[in-house]
Amino acid sequence: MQGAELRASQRAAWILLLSLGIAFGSSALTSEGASIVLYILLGIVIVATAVSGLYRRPLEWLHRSGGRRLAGFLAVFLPLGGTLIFILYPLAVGFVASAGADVRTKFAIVAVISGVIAIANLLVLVLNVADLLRSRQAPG
Amino acid sequence: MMRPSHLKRLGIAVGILLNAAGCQFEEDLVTLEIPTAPPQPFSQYSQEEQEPQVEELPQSQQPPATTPFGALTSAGARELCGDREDYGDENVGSCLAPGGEAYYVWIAPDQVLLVARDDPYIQAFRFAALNRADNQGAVDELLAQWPELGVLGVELFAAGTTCGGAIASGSTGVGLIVAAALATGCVGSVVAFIWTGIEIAQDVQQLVDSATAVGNLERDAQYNFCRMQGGSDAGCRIEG
Repeated sequence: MQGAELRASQRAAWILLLSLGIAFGSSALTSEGASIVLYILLGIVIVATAVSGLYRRPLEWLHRSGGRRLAGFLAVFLPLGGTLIFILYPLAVGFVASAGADVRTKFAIVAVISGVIAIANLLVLVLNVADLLRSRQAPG
Repeated sequence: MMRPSHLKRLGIAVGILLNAAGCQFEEDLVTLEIPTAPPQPFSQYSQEEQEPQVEELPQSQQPPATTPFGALTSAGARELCGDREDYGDENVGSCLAPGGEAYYVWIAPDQVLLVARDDPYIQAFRFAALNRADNQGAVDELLAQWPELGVLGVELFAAGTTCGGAIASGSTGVGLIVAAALATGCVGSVVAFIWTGIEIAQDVQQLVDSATAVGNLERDAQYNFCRMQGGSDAGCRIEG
């Protein structure tokens, strides 16, 4: 059942790339001047990489050379890291608001985006772990 | 975008160069003089060097001449003041009213008072408003560092794939050059990940400090605003 690991690692890479694309794209909200265009372009390039499936080839190569252990590691490590990284921003904004400071609308919007990204990564993590466990329990 | 510390350093460097070139600096600043701001109940600011005399403040010298303005907003007050002694922001601040004998003060965009210039609480209020705005600026600047998390995500992705690849290539005997490239990428991305992580941790610490200061200074401003309206010390503390 090596396909389960490969599928899970591809799903992990896909969600992290998509997360990064959206994160960089939304950075335009908190930036000024030329960096707005730069962040939007960067976001589009990363999302296009995720959507087009360009990332699959290097992952397949890694999977071939590293076997199911590497694929399993990536399937858990990437969404776990994504969850922990992107949950930071909504937590920070929540703290700022609870401390009594003003939270500008643009930061609140970014916090919501970051929170959604963190939840999406968490869902993929749960899905991957369930898939990996099922594949290990399956005969053969 | 340059950080304030960079600007400060640049300013110092330019100052030294101008001094060396013989340029004289002529002071042209309107300074905020706060000789005896009373101790504040919530923030640490201004408490260190002053005696605790908040109970003895001169309430009876003359009743504070305060006038609430139902319709006037902070933006309207600022327009009337025209930048004269404008401290704080649209949420908490003050400015010198036309004529120079009173200040407009506000603790919300729609809660504006006209306070006599010699009100005993005006300086403490202005001090709190000024520092609150500074700290709010720091909070905004730190929250604008959001792309740093994206960079951390990229580094995480790079570290995961290159380190995983390097470990895998060692066991399966892919070419030596590929293995070396992956190992180099692994070390580089892990170092970058740790570096960015430390920077983010420092930013978070600064964010916590600044946001806490904003909250405390806002309560100070509310306390002084309440006292300017004739409230008692205990009553204003509860209200704040």
